[in-house]
Amino acid sequence: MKFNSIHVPLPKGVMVHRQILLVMKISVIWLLAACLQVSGHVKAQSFSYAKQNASLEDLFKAIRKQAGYEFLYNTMMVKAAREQNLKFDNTPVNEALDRAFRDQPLTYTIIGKTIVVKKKEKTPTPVQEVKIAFLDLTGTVVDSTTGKPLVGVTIKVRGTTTGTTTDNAGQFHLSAPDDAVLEVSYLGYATKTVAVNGRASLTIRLSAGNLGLSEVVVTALGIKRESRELGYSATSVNIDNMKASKPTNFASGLEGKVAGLNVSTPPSGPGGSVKIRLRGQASFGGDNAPLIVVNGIPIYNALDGGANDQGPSGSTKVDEGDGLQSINPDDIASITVLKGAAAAALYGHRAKNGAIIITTKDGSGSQGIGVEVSTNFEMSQALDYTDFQYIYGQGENGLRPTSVAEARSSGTWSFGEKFDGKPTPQVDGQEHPYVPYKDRVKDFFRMGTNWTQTVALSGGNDKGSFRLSFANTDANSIVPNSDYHKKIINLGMTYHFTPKFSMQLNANYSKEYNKNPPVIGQQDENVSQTLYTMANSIDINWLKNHYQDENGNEIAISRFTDRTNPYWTVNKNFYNVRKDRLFGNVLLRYQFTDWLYLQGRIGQDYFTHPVDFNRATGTAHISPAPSGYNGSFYQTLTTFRELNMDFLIGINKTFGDFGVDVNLGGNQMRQESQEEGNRVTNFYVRDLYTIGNGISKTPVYGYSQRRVNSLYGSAEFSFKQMLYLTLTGRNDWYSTLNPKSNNYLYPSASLSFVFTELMNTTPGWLNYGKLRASYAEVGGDTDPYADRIYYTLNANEFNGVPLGNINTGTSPNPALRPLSVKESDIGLELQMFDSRLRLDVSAYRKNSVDEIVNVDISDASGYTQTKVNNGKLRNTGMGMLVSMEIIRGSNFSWTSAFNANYNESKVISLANGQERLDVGSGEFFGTISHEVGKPLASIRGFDYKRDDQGRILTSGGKPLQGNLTTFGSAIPKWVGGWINNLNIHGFTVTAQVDFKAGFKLLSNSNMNFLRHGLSKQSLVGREDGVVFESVDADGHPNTTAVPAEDFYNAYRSTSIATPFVYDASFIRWRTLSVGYDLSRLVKNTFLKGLRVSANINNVWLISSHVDNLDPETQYSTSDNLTGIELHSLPTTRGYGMSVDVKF
Amino acid sequence: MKKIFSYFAIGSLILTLCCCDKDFEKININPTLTSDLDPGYLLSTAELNSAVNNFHYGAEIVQQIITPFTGVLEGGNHNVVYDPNIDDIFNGMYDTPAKLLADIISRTKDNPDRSNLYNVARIWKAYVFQILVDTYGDVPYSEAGKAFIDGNYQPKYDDQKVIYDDLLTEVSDAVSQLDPSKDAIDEDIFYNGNIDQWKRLGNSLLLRIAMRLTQVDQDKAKQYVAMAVDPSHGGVMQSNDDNAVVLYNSLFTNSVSSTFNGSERANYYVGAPFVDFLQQTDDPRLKVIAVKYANPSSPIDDAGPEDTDPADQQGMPYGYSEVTIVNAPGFPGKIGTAFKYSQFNRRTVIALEAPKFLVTYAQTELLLAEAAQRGWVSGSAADHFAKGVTAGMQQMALYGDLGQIPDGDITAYLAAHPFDPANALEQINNQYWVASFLNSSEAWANFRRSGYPKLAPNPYPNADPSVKGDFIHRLVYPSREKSVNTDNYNAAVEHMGGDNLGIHLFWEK
Repeated sequence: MKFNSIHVPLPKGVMVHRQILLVMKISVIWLLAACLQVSGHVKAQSFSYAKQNASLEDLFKAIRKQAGYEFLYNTMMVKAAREQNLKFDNTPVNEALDRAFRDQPLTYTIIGKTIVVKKKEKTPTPVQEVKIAFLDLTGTVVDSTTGKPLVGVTIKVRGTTTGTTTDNAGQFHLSAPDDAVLEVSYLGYATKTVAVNGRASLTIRLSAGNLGLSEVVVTALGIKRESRELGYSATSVNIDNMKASKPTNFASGLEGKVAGLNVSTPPSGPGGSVKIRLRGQASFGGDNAPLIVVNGIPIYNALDGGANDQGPSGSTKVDEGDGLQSINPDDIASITVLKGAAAAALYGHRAKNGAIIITTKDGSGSQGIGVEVSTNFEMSQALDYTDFQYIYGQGENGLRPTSVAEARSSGTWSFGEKFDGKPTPQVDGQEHPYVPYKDRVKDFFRMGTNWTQTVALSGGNDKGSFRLSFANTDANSIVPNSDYHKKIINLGMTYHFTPKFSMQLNANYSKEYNKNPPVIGQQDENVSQTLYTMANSIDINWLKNHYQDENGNEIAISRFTDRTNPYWTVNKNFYNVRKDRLFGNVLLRYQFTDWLYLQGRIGQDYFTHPVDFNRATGTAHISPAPSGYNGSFYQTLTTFRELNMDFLIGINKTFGDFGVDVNLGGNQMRQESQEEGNRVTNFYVRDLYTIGNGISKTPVYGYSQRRVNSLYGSAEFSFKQMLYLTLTGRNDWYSTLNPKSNNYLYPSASLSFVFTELMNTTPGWLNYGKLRASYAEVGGDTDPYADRIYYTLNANEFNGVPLGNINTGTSPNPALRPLSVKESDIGLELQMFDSRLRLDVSAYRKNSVDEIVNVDISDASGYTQTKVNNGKLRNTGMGMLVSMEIIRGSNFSWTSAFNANYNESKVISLANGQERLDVGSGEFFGTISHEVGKPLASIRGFDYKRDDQGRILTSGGKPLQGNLTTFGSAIPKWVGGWINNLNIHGFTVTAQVDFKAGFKLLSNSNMNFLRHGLSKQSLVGREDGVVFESVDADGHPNTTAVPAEDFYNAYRSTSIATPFVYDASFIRWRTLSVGYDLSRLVKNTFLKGLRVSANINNVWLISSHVDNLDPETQYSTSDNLTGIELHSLPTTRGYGMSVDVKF
Repeated sequence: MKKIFSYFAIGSLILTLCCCDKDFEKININPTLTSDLDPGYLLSTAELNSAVNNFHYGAEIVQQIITPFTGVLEGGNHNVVYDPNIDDIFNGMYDTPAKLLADIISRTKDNPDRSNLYNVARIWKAYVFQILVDTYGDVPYSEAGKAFIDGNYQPKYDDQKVIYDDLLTEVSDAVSQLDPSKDAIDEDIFYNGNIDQWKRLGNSLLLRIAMRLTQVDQDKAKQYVAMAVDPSHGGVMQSNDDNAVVLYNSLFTNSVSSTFNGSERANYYVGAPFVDFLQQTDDPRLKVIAVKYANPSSPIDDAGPEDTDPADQQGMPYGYSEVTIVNAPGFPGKIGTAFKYSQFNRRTVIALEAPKFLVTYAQTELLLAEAAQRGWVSGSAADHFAKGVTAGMQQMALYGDLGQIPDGDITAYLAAHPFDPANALEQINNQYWVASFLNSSEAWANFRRSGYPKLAPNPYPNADPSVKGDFIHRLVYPSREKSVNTDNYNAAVEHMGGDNLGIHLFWEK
């Protein structure tokens, strides 16, 4: 082989026969599926083309556009080819090429999706004198994680069209200058540049779908862009890392994965919701979740259930989950997090909190029929962080119970006597030794389990592809008698009617049944509340068979009758949440020319959501019935429909170095929901919970409709793969706002500058560098019907007289106009040292103006709130991602990625010059307020009463309620994660540590632990009373001793919160998973792939500052209740296994 | 190209279709609700919701109801501020009755066809605001309830004396304009729209407001008392049939009863001074009110034998917590964690369907007795006193058969306790105290005004410093007001000289 000529050597693999090609093809497909990376819809294998005097390059371009093939060739060689008249009508690519090449001195080979053009043999190449040293390079390309060789990878010498592809061993040979820079690209992998630096042998490691030179990112409206074009912050989530553990709600797996993404999962059972926040909270409302878009159409993701502030009136606080439960993680092909407003600007009003773009699989790349089966099993175990005192046992005022009646009224107090093992009357009616009992958490909660199976069938041919999957989840909560079942059927299809006319269809049907989701965050019927405040000498097992008396009424264990016997709650109360949901869309697309297309899409999200629950007859804390039996039953059916119709025109033209890409579209969103139900209290027949059996019946009905019409457009101008300017505009018209000001036009501009393209001599260590900057505005509206007063009539008459009322406590405001969020964002992306070190930093400032705020107003005005357009709020922050390939080797590799985001929010102003807006309050104490000049979500509560010198004042030795004080924000300033991927001889190990810092938590539980005598702090003063360090009204030091129980109880009656405010920061080793690909072992069987993995979820709480609790035991996903902790379920540690099989 | 243009044409058609905001105004009207409800329908709810659940302070301050417990039940029992219980009247009155009455008044004031509805609403508004003033002192009045009507979200606080003056003017004017020949009022839960009865309620209320001024402005008091009893002005209540009372039923139960029958059934007791007074006077009402259950913690069906024998009753003394109560003299012992003190009878006064008396004939006669004693009205004080006591006993019949007090017992009681002009004010106002049991606001206000009954201050050791061994004279404003209506709140506090439990109202010297 000559060293001085530029030519395209024939890859070794090409010589091998069809069989190997087939193997390669399958491998490609298989890898595609394995890495779950997004790929464009399958392009036609045939194409149409007609041109007089067409050059080969023209033809190649057409084939690339229509059929998606890449070409490798020597420009000069191809330019030398003759022009000819060509006309193809739906002709297979190879046939067309055969014809075009017939009279040319060239020939071609198709390898995967790459067409390599070379000289016909026997035609001697004119020797070209080039005065540079050439190397005969040999190299291998492997997957950076698995170390597996990659077949069909394209390798190009930068600045030339010289290149080759790897063979079936992942190897390539290439002649290139010794200072050449190679561009290595592969579908589904990040493109990489490698400096040859005189090496004759290279091993190149490609990472699947991470930040990359030309990673394809699905952006707003489903438009695909190369990451280099983006002038705003958008991050693709590595789906592989999401597989480390498979929670029932896949979104909780996003925690710690993306800078700026703050994910928290309240411990509320397997059917619960997940709280996602991007770059802080953009509004004062309770729900600042980003918009969730599936296959281009937004889906409903509102929270349900009283624990999230969304329950039917009179309901218990239950987390009924959210819309993300309907998505099966195995169906997801890609997730892109559009962080800033610019990223999401085209989605308009609902994307003011950013957007998460999910694309589901549609079988793209499939040939023939493939079957995938995956099974996941996870067990979860409740964790016990309590550190209680076990010196004094059950009892009050220093005395143990002396009778069963006393035992049943003092069951939540541990202010008894010192343990002595003597027989003592107990709550179960027996006598038991007076000894400590430490296993409440272990004994009451059971092992939670979660079985999920997915079967997916996919197939395709040159016309299209499909994928159909079915998933079943059966999960048992750690709470007895509470379980969750889910079935999801997902269909994705693409079909090309003609090369120009195609359609896509996605449909997702889910059926959920959440049986008895636990009551959390309130006193009554909350098993955790009773369990955790139960005296430290009551064995929970005693209650198992002693929760009802001979009359079928509850056996209460406390004079606080709202501490419901947990086994009564579990056995007698029911709460059924069902949801049948179908969402999906159909898209038709017509490609007029290679630069113009039109698409239309219609999508719908529809569900029915029946809920029924009771409060059992005989529950100790509910009032007796005037006649019949007490108790209540509620039954309701919510139906929801959202219809989105949109169209998009796309124009894409290149003029020399300049390119223009314009998209114009419009959308109509119609939303309609309806709730009908009935609530009954007291019954004729005991223990029959039906509407008909209810004595007092109240029908419930609610209706709401809204519409938003939008027009939008974007234009991207590019120059030389280096500079990209994108401008967008969207105008929304809202039905919910004042007709005089119901529309809003919001613009965005973003700029991307790949400065390494400009540098003639890039330093060897710098492979890629990009600067980006963007500015955007996004608007928003409010709830329907907030503009006028409505009256209602009570469903029941009062002694024959109808009762009318005004239906709201929120004073209507007819003058509302759109709110808006204005965000600027700058960022820098670098890839260094052979792309082993990647850096992505960004800084942003997000201003929310004209916020539509539910302002607290004086009760004396007749209303408790009104809606006004006057809040101002700012979030500023910085995010970073550093990822390093620390060790590179075929048998051992280690990639480490660290992301962190710092966000600071500030309330600039509220309506009417108000200083503070209260948005939520705890059951015992604590208020969440937005205060001018302070960060969002201030935790407020009463301090001790103090004198002028700040000394605590007491009266008779007991503390007094002082001033309402702000203790700090409940929103973390720092959120981040550290993800490590190791590959050791084929074993893949993923470990994730994540953290949140810079926020506070107010623990209602710890107040209870103290006043009930459980926490160690309550040991002070047991014998001689508490002499609290303080002064009396005259300034004299306090010397009065107050009996311990009496003293600690004062924290309840005075609502003093000061001692129960904690730093909520934590560091947690979130997941550890080990996987091994056994495909090699099954190579010669009918199996195409086999992978097993095991994981531990919530490995270790490395750092925490909260007494007796996991700092993540927050009970609500609503921002209005964030930071107030109150007896939710314990957090769990999960142990999982999964097996993925491909046929 | 032709094709392209046709597609563009279709595109622009879609544009024009979706870009306008056609029908948006219609879409944003809730088709399932009305924005134009006859204001009459709001009156009934305003009346019903005026029966605010307010036992936490008033009835505890006048020592009729007591709980020893600290925590969420705390308030008047221990002379402390507990914000959630301080709110009851403020939020209860403003959030519904004041709002609905403001709506009725603004929608009927210029409509001669709804003149009676308008004037009835004015009278009832006076009832609502008198309670607010009597509880807190200065309160929002002229700007209250008008968030939607006037966009006033932070109403200013009015001087309590100015409010009182306006209440007198409003009620007297409204009563004089009521006319049975004008519009009928159908949605009235008190009198089923009987205008004459409304006139008598208005005048009785006028009497109540006027009599509150006995310590500070006797001339004005006298003037309005005279107007109230003037037959040409409609006169005051004539019998228990004229009582303004909420008759609860099985669908709408008495919320105080629900609490005392439900979660708090083992926690509330009859105050010792109340039991002692009824025992000492052999009052036949004691056996209707007080009871001892064998199992106080259980629901009524399992509560065991009920002892209503007046001789067995023992009230709980004031000044103790659930811990220290065991040290009280004569502590009767415990049943579980309940105490063996007398409780309220769940079959009568705190039955779930027990009525709630708001303005009664008995109170009216007793006020007249005092007015007669002062020489402000003609007629015999003794006569009014006897009528007042009799009515007070007879009204117990609304608590059911067990509440029926035989005429003989009433006669015997009157005979045993004849009117004593030398001790008239104490005698009359002691009766007012008993007759206002469970009408806590009025019992407390009249106690502050008259100084009767002569109760010993609650000696609880951890009381709020502002009480200073005295009684609670007013409630502090809800802490929410400090937060949401700060400027006006501060102005009111400055005007009153503070915001604590010890400040006297303007009508109390």
